[in-house]
This record gives sequence, structure tokens and C-alpha cells, in this order.
Amino acid sequence: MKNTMFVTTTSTFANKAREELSKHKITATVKKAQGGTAAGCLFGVSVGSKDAEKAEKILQMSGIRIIAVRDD
Amino acid sequence: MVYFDNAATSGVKPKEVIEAVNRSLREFSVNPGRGGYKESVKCSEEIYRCRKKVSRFFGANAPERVIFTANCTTALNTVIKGIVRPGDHVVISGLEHNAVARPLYEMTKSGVKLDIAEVIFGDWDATVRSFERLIRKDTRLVVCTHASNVTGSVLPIGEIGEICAKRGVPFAVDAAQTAGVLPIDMKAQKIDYLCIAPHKGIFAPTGIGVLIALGEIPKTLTEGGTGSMSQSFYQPVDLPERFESGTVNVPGIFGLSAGIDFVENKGREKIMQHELKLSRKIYEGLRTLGGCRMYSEYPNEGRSVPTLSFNLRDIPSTEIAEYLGDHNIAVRAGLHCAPMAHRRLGTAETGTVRVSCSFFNTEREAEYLLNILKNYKRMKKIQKVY
Repeated sequence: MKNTMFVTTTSTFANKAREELSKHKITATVKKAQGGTAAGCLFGVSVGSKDAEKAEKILQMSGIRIIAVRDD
Repeated sequence: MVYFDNAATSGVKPKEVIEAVNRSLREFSVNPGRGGYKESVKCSEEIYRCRKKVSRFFGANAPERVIFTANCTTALNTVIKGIVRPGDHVVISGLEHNAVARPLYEMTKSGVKLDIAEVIFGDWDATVRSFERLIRKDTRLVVCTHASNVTGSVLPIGEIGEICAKRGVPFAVDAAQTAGVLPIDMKAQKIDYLCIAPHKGIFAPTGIGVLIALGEIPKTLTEGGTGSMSQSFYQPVDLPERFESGTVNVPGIFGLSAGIDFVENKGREKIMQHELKLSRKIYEGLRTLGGCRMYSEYPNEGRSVPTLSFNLRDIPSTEIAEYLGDHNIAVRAGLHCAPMAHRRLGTAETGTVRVSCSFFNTEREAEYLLNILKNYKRMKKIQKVY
């Protein structure tokens, strides 16, 4: 199954993102964003790609800053 | 040891707190918010869960605004030095601990203007008016202790918060003596910054403090590694990591989390009732002792935390504490890092003996304390009753 990673900032916000998504029955896993980013050392949440569009909207509505979206 | 120094730190920790600290050391000796391996990620989840619990417990509803500090003093310094600038005006109560007074008195050297609101014991309306009178157009911050660490008197923070909100002045509360003891709801009480010493009323280990910052984000006191945005030489803007440079106190956070569970499971109200009952027993016993001058009001629900201050005639408070110590009773004598409160009470020269109860104290311990004091009084031949 393909996954999509929403790179947030810190592990706190990644956990907050996971919590917000779980309220909408989307399973998300907190992960360190691998592969390096311009900012470095970021965390994010990984969700099944089928939920990615819905997840992105939920995170935006929750005021969680998304630095990047990428395949995971 | 019979421990009656719970205003300094809770002397007995619940077994659940000890087990949580133990578990953190066994299972989570990792650095959270840094590594990508599962133990580190799991640890960061546990820490987030604790932030959420703290946020809910104090009516903040914003886990990311829960900042872990080394202690309550660091939390207070973060607010005071992060918000107040040279030339600003600040109002504090006349019962503040040195954790509030010292940073601000230091800042008066660089032009900060400080006013002290008189606390009228037993008259909340008059106390609120004291604050109201002192707030000016250039007031940048109001800082108030929720309860005196000397007398146990509670201050009307809800009413003071209301005035601050109306006047547009940020309001910071030092809840060192009340967090876990009295109900606190940051949003309802209009508190912008809440500073907590979880090792007291929440039974957490020492070395962990909390600042909940709902107000504007203060300037940082310390910068460094946060595990995020590492390519930037500037401090990240995201809370709470912005204020958590360096590795956080994982065992302390686990202990704090278990401490909140303990208070909620036992019932904060039930804990407080037990502590007040003991406090009343000691208060009444001291009053009948003869030669005892009380500096605390009779312990009343909502108006007192279980902390009593007294002196026996003109005997130095330290001498009484030493005698009690010789009989395995731990109390604290002196000025309790709160010289402002002692000036207000007229005890700046002598200090007072402070007895502070916890959920884990028993009636038998209270009786033992009173009996030892009776023996002491007999030995010293104290006659005069104030």
C-alpha cells in the first residue's frame, strides 16, 4: 500500500497531527522525515495515500503547518 | 520521618509516580523528538500525551502551549524576562515568592517599573481593588501567586484575571502551591501564563516545571538544539520546542503524567479535603497550645491551601524547627524565600515555622506534631497567650 508523508515541524506537531487525523478515523504514524529537507530534522505523519487528500484538508483546518507532502 | 514540609516538595510520592519514573528509565532512556527509531518516536508520543493531559487539567486546551521547564522558577523567569522590556510597568502581589520578586527587582536596574499590590487577608474585594488601582496604560504584565507559600492564603486570581483581560494586560499566575490542589481553569480565569511546580501538589519528581503560555509568545531565555529545523542558526518559532532547548526531563515528564492521573483518580477535591482536615486539626491544636501566634487564617475551602505559619512567643523559628527535627518532624522555618510576605506579616526578622500537609499525612502524625510542640512549650515554660 502506498503511503503519503505530511512533513510538519517538530515531533509535538506530528503527534498533534496524528491526533487530529485519528478524530476523523484516519490512521497515521508519526515518523521522522527521512531524506533530508532544507530545514533539516523534521517530523511528520504518514497516512495511506487513499486518505491523503482528506488528511491534508484536516491538517490545514487544524492549523498544523505542513512543510512538505511526499511519497513515503 | 514525619514530613510536614509539603509546600517545599511533596515528601511522599505515590507508587504510581515512582513506577512511571522507573518505567521511563527502563523503557525510554532515549532522546525524544530527535531520533527516527521507534523507541524515540514512542517516547515523543508519551510526552505529547502528557502535554495533552496537562493542557486539559488546567483548562488550556492547547497541548503545544505546554512547555516543560526545569522548575517553576524557570517558568516564571521565562514569562517575566520574555515579556517585560526596559521601561515597562509590572504589578505583582505583596505575597510573591522570590521566584517572581528577584527577576523583577533585577529588571528594575534596567528601568522596569514595579508596583506591589497589597493583599488584604480575608478580603478578596479589597485585594482585587489593590491590583485594579495599580494597573496603568504602560502596565505590561501582572504577576500574582495563586496562594502564599508562607500563610497558605489563596488570592482571587479569577477576579484579577478578569480585570487584566478588561484592561488588556497579560496575566501570569504562579501556581506553585496550588496546581493539583485547587481547581485552575486558564480560559475561565483569564490566565495568559500559568507556572507550575508539579513536584508539589501533583506529586511529580523534582526537576520538572511547566509553563503553559496561552498569551503572546515570550522572547526566549535559552536557545539551542530542539531536534527540529537544525539547519537554521536561529531558534525555531514552533512551540513548545522553541522553549525546550536541550534534552527534556523524560523521567520527570512521566512522573508528572502519572501524578495527574493519581490526583484525578483519587479526586482532587478528596485530596484537598483530607489536607484541609489535617490543617484544621493542627491549627486548632496550635491555638490551644498557648503562646502561639498564628499567621495563617483558619483553613477554609477555596480560601486556603494546607500551609500554616506560626511562631511560639519570641523563640526563633529556626530553633523550633530544629527541636522538631530532633524528633524526626520535618517543617521549614525562616523566610521561605518570600521576604515580601514576611514583611507584610511583620516576621521579616524572626521568620515563621511553616507546617504544610499532604494527602499522605495522617491524623496520628498531626497529633504527634502537637504533642512534641506541647513538650517543647513545657520545656521552655511559655506562658503568655497572644
